[in-house]
Amino acid sequence: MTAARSPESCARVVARLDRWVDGALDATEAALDRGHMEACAACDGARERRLQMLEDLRRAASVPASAVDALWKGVAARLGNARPARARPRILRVHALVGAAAAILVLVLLQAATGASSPTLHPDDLVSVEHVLEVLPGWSDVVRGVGSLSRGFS
Amino acid sequence: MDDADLVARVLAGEREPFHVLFRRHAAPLFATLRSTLGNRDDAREVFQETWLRAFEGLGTLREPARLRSWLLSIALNLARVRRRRWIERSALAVEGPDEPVGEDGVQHRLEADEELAALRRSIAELPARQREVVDLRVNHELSHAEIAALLGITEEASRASYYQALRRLREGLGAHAREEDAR
Repeated sequence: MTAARSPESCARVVARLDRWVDGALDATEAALDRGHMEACAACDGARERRLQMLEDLRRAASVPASAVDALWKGVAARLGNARPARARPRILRVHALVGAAAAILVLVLLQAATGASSPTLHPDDLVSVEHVLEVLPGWSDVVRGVGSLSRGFS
Repeated sequence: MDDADLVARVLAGEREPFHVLFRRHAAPLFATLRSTLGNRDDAREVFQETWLRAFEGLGTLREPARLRSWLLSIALNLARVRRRRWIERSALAVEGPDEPVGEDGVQHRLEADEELAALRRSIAELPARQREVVDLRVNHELSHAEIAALLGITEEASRASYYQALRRLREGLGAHAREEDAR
């Protein structure tokens, strides 16, 4: 696709040249301007100067490899024996919250319906709870959440 | 090996992959902090803090493939805190960031290139937001959508800042060229 050269077309191309270089023009506009620049040395020169300035910006910001090595020494010294913390999977956190909320609701409804006092656990039951926590570590938040909140009701 | 694989290996207990990630992302990240803070010593401190936090918080990174954006968000947040301290201090004493300087001896070689030195001065004179956007677009090659998400602005605002900055840089360099011609 080509575009007739005229002062108006040159002005239009130069006005949106930054967007052209940035890849922000739609395909039709970009092709039109490319055709213009292939035939217009002045506008093509303007495009070259913009590309050169981007290259200069990269050069101005460059950090040499020797400096990166020096920076690593500082970082490595601060890292010491640190270890990255492992995050619990988000899905488990959501399950824990939903489960805790549901369990609280059931407890409150049961207490309201029966007028019963807070349940008490036999020592053997406590052992069973610990076993459940070991077997289902992902659900330990649910159990602990219910436990701590239900204690708040008693 | 891509970033996600390296992150997985670090989380599995290996240390060397973290060094690989560092070598991959350190230079542009440090350049961003040097440009943002305009002071090599502060940039170095914030840079170290950024990597320390990144290492310790690596398990919280939801999309390891987007490590670069994550590192940038940590660094830019820490830099903002540092700049806020300057402002608070400047209320008590007249001081501010140094002129932007390069890394250990390299600055002299860069300054030998007059055009590059002029470009550095023009970058330093840009408004902070425009400077950030130019850095993220040119040196980190982020899309305007990514820049917008990182800086909490709209995509259109990112584009506007970028094009305004490029225009100002060209004008600044044009003025510099005229000054050189007049000598």
